[in-house]
Amino acid sequence: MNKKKLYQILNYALPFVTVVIIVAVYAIISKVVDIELIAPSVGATLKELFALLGQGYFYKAVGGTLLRALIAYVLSFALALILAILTKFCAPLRRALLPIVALVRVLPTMSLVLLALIWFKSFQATVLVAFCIIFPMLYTGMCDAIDGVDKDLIEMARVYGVGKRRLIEKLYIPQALPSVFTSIKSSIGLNLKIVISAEVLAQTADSMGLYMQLAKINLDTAILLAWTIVAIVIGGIIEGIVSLIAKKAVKWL
Amino acid sequence: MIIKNLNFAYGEKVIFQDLNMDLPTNGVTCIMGGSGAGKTTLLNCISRQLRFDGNIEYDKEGASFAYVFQQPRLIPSMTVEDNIKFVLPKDLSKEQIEERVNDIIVKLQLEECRKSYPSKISGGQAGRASLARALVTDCDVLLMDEPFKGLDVKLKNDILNLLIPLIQQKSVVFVTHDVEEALAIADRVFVFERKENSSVRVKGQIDITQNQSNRDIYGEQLNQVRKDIYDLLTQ
Repeated sequence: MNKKKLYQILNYALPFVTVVIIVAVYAIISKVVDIELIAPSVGATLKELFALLGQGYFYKAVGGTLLRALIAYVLSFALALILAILTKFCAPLRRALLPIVALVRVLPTMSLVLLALIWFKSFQATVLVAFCIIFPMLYTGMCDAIDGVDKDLIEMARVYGVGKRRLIEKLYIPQALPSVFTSIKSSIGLNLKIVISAEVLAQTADSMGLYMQLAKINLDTAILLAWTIVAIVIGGIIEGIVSLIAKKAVKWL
Repeated sequence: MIIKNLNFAYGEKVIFQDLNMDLPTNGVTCIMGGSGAGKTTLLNCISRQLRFDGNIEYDKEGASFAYVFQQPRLIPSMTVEDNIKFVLPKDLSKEQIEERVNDIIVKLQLEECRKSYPSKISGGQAGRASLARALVTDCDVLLMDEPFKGLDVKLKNDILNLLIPLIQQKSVVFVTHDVEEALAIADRVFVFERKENSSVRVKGQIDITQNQSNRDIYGEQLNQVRKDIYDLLTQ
């Protein structure tokens, strides 16, 4: 086997090896601690996980959480995109938005969750919290992506009299895409985490957060870990899909 | 092309003050001079990217421009072929676009990399692709700002040999620091000079009468031109 092939195999295998090591380390800790309440065994956790997969409420909860995450993300993305384009052509608007974006960015998540819970129902509160955290990230990322379009290329297009529509379609959008995908990759997993955290505090019906909170109240750590594994797997799948789309969409890099 | 009383300043910094130049129609004008002598600024005035006072009379009303920059400035998300198509006017039919693009790709020997992205092609291919993009437009005025900067001598000569037959019926303004490039391509050479706190002046103008396609750049006449240009640039 040549070096290149070995390197390729290692490249694919290493992440799995890391997962196996993490599970092995946890199994050792669980064995040493030997208290199911604190560190349930890998077997017990997997048993709870498979039991969950057979329950109807599991799919309702996962669906509910994903729906809230999707709504929050689509709203954040759409508004970030619209505002990033508008502020590119209207500098005063960008300056006017600065304090709002800065405020939302530094607002403590817990304050946001608690205030949202006072003002809204738990479903809306969860979406609002995720929106408030994800929107500034996406907006800043998209502004940077648009600003980062090579000015030399824009100058070139202008010299040749290329129209605005073709300029946006063929130059701005493809040039901004890699940075936009970087922003998406760094925010989409976080979005799910925030939605689940907000669900825990808001005790939203039909949500992964609610069942995690119930597992904690019932001191059922194995179930809590099983839900955690579900959240990790879903987050991983979403990030994987985004990476695949990015690879297809930005094939020139 | 005639430049009459051209005035231009970057803020307080005056670059051109009543600059007058007569550029040959359907010929190659080379602009030479030290760094900061206003060569690129002149190209930007000619292509109307900069606002200036004075008058530039083109050989044709509503003249169109093509610009070959120092860097190829190819759009990374497009193949070489699409980069060339990018600058063509919208009113051309699909067949006309294909015909023009195919023709220039063949002439500039880009067949091998026509479907490649700029990140996957060599510096020479990128330079030729940039030229192809400029020449496909059938422009009236071709502006070239040190297009061979950074290319090795052989590559430069190869591209020059491909370029010369393609620009015979065009008004070309070519900025370069390289005397050999000027000798190979120019019909008229202007040497610019700009001293500190003063505007650009044309230090000298030299006409080359030999046709580019059968020019002997080491012949007696061009050796004298070479010496004259060096003298203007170094004195």
